[in-house]
Amino acid sequence: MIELGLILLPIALIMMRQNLVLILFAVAAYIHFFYGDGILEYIIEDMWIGLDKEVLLSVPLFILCGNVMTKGQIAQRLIQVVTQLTTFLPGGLAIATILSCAVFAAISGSSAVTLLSVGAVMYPALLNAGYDRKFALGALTSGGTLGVVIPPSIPMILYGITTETSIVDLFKAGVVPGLILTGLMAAYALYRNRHMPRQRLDRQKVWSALKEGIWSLLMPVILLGGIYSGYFTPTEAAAVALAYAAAVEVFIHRDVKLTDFYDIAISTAKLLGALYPLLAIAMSLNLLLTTEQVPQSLTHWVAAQVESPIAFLLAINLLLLIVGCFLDINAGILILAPILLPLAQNYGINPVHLGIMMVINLEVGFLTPPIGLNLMIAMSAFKEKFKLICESVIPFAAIILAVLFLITFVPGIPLMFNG
Amino acid sequence: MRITSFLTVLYRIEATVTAAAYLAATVSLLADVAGREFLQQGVWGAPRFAVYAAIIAGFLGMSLAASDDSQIRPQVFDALFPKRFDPFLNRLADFVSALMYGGLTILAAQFVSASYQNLEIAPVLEWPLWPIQLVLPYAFASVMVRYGCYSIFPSSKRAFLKDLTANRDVNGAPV
Repeated sequence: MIELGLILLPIALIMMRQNLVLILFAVAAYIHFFYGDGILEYIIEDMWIGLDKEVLLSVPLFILCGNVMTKGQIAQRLIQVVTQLTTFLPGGLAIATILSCAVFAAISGSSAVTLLSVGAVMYPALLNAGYDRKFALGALTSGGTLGVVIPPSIPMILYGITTETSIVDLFKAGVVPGLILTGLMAAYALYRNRHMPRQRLDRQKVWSALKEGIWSLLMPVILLGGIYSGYFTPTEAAAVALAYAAAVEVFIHRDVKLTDFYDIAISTAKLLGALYPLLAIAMSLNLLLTTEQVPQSLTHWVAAQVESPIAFLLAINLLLLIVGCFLDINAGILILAPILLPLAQNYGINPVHLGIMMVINLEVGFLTPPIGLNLMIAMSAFKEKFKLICESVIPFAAIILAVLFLITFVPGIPLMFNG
Repeated sequence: MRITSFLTVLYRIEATVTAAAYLAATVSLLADVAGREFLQQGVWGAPRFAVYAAIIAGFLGMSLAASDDSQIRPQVFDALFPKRFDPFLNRLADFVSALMYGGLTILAAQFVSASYQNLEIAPVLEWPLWPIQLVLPYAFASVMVRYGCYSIFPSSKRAFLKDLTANRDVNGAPV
């Protein structure tokens, strides 16, 4: 009866349109009450413990950095460089769209920010150049999701924090899958637009774009070079990236005024206001589940049901694909990662491998109805019909699924740089 | 009208403090990195200070996110009910949220009280923790009041959101 209540409680709260923080709070309170010592104050104490970590600082700093770049012109200058370098290819602008998303994602760490920033420039450009509307929508909506796979990635940071896995190792592991995804999407863009007229590579224009975009191009070099060389921790890299982006936008490009930072801080605060309490309550719930030895019991139960690691990998991928349809990627990672990790380790799966698999799997959730975030953002940003956007992302979602399959069964790919 | 004005003033105060907290977190972290880079010595307690500033900003951000319903909410069962029930269901949702945030406020207040009585101090900085932790009950209480107002006076929600988005583009930037 108590177990039934534990299942019905979140369902009832979802039906009553409660947010995830309150749903997790109610579940934690229920577990404390019926399985623990009944002292609900521990929920808040565990929330505080969960948040009182320096590594968490990288999350607001990366989001602030992404918002500064969205407000300014770093994205436009990066796009200009990539566009000039790909004009000689058939469907050059389409390839430039995918590459711009990848480069911008590498510095913003956010899928939504990438879609909005690159989309604002590239969507009208693609339509004006005669590219198919459906393709343009699909490329931008899906290209935006590269933000969560290519480091620095907020979901990877959250996975690292909740499972105590090295964030630098996760970032290293995201590089090859990110490149494969970008390469395959660009190859599809090339194939799909192979009949589009190509232009001559204009060296003067390339040089001019490089001169204009040099400060923007240095951003990923500083950021990723700093992290991968071990010179900066992810938190320090985030702080330096933010300072660099702010300095470039205010003093060099002069596209952002000091007064704009108030709006930037507020939009960041709203994003984090949804994420921070969720992170806190999810970590509190995870501590509680660990105390109650739930992951251990679950591990024994699953081990008794599923013998083969392949069957286990297929099962968790299926579970995550379903979860991704209904839950935001960050929420999915915060809730499921600490539960799935002990199960996966029981089958000898590396925590970094599981992290990358989870991120790529939940990336598909950005593109799946009913609540795919990128679908919603694209619908409002490009003023297009939901059905058309859903149809447009199908080939790209298939590419992501193919890469997911590859990453799942060839762990050597993500773990290439992790020794 | 008074309720809407109250909610708007509350939003502006919280937004200003949040922006200041982010600024403090960023500046202290950057000072620490710069100090270690150029003077071979970081700024004492700067990362700790940044953590607390980010917690304050994060929880005040929760109140800002609640103000325009931008919190993460599973919408999987929304389609179960006909659209005509939406006003009632949304009002009920705000009421239940207010009650639950009320519960969280009480628990957070008990937590801070225990921290005060146990003389808990911040590592490195050695400051009493309870003044920083006060942001928890405050933020929960603020969200409770906001949802309470929305459920008792549903028109205040519409008026507040209209106020908030006035003179803004679709991305929320001033026009």
